[in-house]
Amino acid sequence: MGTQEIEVLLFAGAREAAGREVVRVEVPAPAAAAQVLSALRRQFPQLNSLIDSCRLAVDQRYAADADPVAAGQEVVLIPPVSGG
Amino acid sequence: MNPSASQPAGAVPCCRVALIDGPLDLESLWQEIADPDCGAHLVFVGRTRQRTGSRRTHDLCYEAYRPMAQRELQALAAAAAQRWPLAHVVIEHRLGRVGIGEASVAVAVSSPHRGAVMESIPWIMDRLKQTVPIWKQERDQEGSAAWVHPAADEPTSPAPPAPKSDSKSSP
Repeated sequence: MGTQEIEVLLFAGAREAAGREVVRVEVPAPAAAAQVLSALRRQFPQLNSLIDSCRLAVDQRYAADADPVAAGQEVVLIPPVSGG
Repeated sequence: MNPSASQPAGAVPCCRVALIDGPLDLESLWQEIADPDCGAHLVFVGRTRQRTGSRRTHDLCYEAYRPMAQRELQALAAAAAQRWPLAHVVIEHRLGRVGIGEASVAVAVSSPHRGAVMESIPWIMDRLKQTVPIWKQERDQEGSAAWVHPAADEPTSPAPPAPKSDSKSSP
């Protein structure tokens, strides 16, 4: 099984915790959203206080844990929202 | 009418949503939803409060994952228009700095009768606050700033009070 590098965009408190707008994680190919979240947890411990309450969005749609994620898709970490 | 509001393909014609980088024009929203077939018109406005708990707020700053926020707002407005007989649904959310008393969000709806507007507004606001990728940073008078990320099981606003029992009150 190969691996792939996934680029994840960060917003708000996640961006602040990581100190950057974009991070890259190495995951298996193919991978599911849950694996991207696990990789973020492992590789960026400064996100740990937030990550359990975060969702992943893939190509502007919320991803369920089992949804596939592939390199080249727009992947965004969505911390709990606070609009309105 | 907001000239920058173009409807994306598949949008319900009566619905318009927008992310606005500047003050909201609330008067124009009343005009936009005005409809001679509608007896009921309602505009909900959310404004920045001067305090949160014991902290005195200086201002709020909103950011969005813009393309998805636009998409989620559009889906939300369309869902409301499917669920209730709303002739018009407009949702605007301001981004950037929003000072005390300034509007951060406005939801404007109109319908032939009042039931639909009275029910749809709270539903739209609840869903907006759960699903739309917009975040606020609270900046207080003491100079600190904190992103607001409510925990999944934490209520984001107090539950409404239970209605007082009153034998004289009309339905």
